[in-house]
Amino acid sequence: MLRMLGSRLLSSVPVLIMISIVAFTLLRLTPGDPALLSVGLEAPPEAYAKAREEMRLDEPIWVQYWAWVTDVARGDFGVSYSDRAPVLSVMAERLPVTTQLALGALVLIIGLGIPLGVLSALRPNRLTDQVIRVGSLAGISVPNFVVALFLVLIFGWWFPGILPYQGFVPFSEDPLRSLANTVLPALALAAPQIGLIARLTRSAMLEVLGQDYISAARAMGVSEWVVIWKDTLRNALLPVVTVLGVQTGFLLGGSVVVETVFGIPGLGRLLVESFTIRDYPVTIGVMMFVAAVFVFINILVDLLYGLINPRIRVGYSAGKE
Amino acid sequence: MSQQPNGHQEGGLGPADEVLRVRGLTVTYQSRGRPVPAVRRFELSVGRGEIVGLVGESGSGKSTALKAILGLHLGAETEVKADELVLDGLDLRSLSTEQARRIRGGQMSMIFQDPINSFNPAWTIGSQFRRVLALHRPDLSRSEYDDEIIRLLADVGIDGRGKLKSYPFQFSQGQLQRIMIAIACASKDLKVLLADEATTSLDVTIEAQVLELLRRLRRERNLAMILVTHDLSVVAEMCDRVVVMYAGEVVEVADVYDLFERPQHPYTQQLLKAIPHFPHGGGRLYAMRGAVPRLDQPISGCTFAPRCDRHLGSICDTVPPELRPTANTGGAVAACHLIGRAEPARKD
Amino acid sequence: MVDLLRRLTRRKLSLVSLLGAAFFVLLALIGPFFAPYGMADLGDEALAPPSAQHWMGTDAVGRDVFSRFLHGSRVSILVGFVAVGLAMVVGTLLGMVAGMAAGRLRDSVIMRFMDVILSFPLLVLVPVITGVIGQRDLHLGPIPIGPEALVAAAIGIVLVPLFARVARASVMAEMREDYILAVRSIGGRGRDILFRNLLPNIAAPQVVQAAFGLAMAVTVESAVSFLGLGVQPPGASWGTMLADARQHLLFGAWWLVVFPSVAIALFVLVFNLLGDLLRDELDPRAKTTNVGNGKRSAGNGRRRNTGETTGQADGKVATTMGASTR
Repeated sequence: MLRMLGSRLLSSVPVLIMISIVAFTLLRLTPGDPALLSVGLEAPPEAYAKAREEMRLDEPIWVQYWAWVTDVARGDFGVSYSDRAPVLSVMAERLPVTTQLALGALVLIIGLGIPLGVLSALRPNRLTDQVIRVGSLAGISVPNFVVALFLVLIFGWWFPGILPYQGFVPFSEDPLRSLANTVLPALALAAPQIGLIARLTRSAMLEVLGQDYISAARAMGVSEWVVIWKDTLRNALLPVVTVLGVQTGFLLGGSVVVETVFGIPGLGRLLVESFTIRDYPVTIGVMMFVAAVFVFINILVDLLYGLINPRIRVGYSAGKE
Repeated sequence: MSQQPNGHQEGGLGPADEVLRVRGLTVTYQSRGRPVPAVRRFELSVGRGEIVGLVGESGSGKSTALKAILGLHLGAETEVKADELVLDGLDLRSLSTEQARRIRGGQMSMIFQDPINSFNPAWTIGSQFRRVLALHRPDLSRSEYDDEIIRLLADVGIDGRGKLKSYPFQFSQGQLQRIMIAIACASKDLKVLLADEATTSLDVTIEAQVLELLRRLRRERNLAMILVTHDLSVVAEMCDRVVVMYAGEVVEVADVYDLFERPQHPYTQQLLKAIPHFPHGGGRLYAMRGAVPRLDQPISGCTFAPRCDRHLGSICDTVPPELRPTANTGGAVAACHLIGRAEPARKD
Repeated sequence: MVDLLRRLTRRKLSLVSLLGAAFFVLLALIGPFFAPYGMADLGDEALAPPSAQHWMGTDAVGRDVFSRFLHGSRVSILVGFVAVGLAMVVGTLLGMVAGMAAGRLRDSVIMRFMDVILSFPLLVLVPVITGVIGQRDLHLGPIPIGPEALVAAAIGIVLVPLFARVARASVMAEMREDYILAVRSIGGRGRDILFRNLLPNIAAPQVVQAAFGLAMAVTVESAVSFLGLGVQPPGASWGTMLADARQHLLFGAWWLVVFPSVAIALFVLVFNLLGDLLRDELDPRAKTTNVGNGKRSAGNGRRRNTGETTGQADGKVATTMGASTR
């Protein structure tokens, strides 16, 4: 088990390195002069030259990369081109915001998606099931920012005043208002995913329900409720957890479009905005963070899988007699 | 009623010896909006300590009938009806869901075809066993469970010490089937054991061990059994009486010797003819022509008529035959127009 | 193919999704011809709700939303198809090469590369690619390729891993089958195995992926254009129309949001549904009959049915004719 963990961590390093190389190269190749954007068009030539030197823009690209890597190894992700603030602190400002939205969305996804899927599986092909399935399909089909736009329309124009549709208040400042601000964005983020999880839960449960050991459990006299709860659901949740992990990864990376629509200062917006002004240190910083999050979540899901699935845990070679 | 030295019983069953009685069982499920009667007018009687074989091809409805007897959930839209469904004097149809549930695994239990699939792969053997004990052994306290499990496993020939924390995939098929049997027989009130193709997926040598185990259980506990199988050699070896099913209906019931030596229904006759004999002269093997009819279409007349070598005429195509007493003893019946029309009252 | 279409039209749901898909294709091809106004014609009435003259109302500078919608639909849908087409060709090829070399260096390299693409946030990757390739006006001969093509190419690159993964998995499964062994044993070359034998037999899941990929491509396009990083104004696409809509949301200009949104949602719904239904039809596991499970043999292009093929349980026939006539 520990060995598996170690090997996974080890194999993720080359992937992260490759990502950083590709990210770095692509960004440097993108047209646009970060030095110019940093000092502005009006700036005197000396300031511009100084900026170019600071950013090492005239040096060969592998030198630039190596400089960056050595800095990162020391924990220094560099300084933002636009406001000279350390990249890490810029990110640290935005991270809690995105995390809060992500948590809110997850609560909705798990709280609505799984029960709907279970309900659907227990009455297959009846009205409840059809409604949930069609609803899920419709939900998946609408991109989250479209949902966001509609929510703003509804709560900003038609029924203003019920829920805030713009801006954000940190939890530490005003918990209640912070939560109120989280509702609509979390809803927009969750909407497409709820349908996905509902469908996945449904199909996983139907598959488990069709297994012989479920019939065997019933034949042993186990009550239907217990069969569903203990035998079926636990086994069925395995693939669902995997997908939830991927979704969490996406959520933690922040959705730039949803954040844009709701005016939320999150990581997603940071990523795209920094890219737009060619503030590369920040862009790469966020990209590496997101990549690392994905890698860790993948490993976490694998660990969880191993925990739940005894075959992986005990190992095949435990001795057949 | 005379008792033969090897356990076979002759003659009809008196009510005191009849531990399970099924009459008029019908199972209809829905497929694409159309009703499919998978089991029709099924009937069966099992005496105490008697082993009844339920044979038929795939799709004959034997497994469905068995599951319906146990009251297993067959699908949300499936309809199960029966004129009689009596377990040792207890009318199973009149039970509440909760009472019916207690019967399962208690007075009547079932073992399935593929042992590895009968266990929840994510649970240890011990925990699955313990759950059954909790349900059906109120005489034991929790601390006694593990000892009892070891004892029950030893009864079926498995050394369970230190293995309770193992998972199903760590055992062989033969061991798993024996564990399954131990679990199914854990209850002290067990009267009928239902086996749905329990040895079909086992190697021949393992199968022999399992069958021997079943015979021992019958001897020691006077346990009645219904063995569903399509393997006639298992029937010959194990069963006292045989019920033959075709396309969802019972077509013949007879003592095992009578069935093999004097089969009355054309289907049974053709089935036996199709078994290749060894040594074989090299001639062409007999094969039944045609195929099992589709159950979602209405069938007029005898279900076997299109394939019958002894087809009488239009009566077979229009009038479904009733189960009639045959020349064989012990309440043997067959559903065929060929059987003599004169009907003495059947001893039920 | 005809058989597949026939099977699909039998069920109501699949018929509806097929019709929906056909509708969108038609919309893309001939929609703009029905536009009553020009895409960029400035009118005098700004932000007018839907009326007889302007079926979908007007936007902030007086342009007819319906006309913009028709033009924008063409852009969005075509971008989707081009992107998926590109991704399918490149991805399938890469996936097959990786699958055939499973476990070896070539396989690892290709799949790591796919992982890298997958790890990038879409909304950065697309503008980066667009930016790197350059927003120039390219020409393929006399045909001008606008910036939309670049967006399509960028989205295509992003979708490659989708097809590559599925192709690789399919190929790895097929490599174990006997017919591949048969081809090898008479000296069939890699190229033959790839194109004549594997490709027809793994085509089915790729088509399913294509349907899902279309839904994804259009979603990405609208997101990217919404942010101003894809199709640029005054160009019309569903995404840019939504960007316009956002500015004026709080004036109650619901018609700016509703039509592109519904269009996107319906498009994604139709193609997701199509993908689901195609997968049900083409996945052998879902089949309960054993007639015509859709496996093709190359060489003469005719489909071999299970029933006609002796000795093969699933109708795959190894093609070596091509190899020997070369």
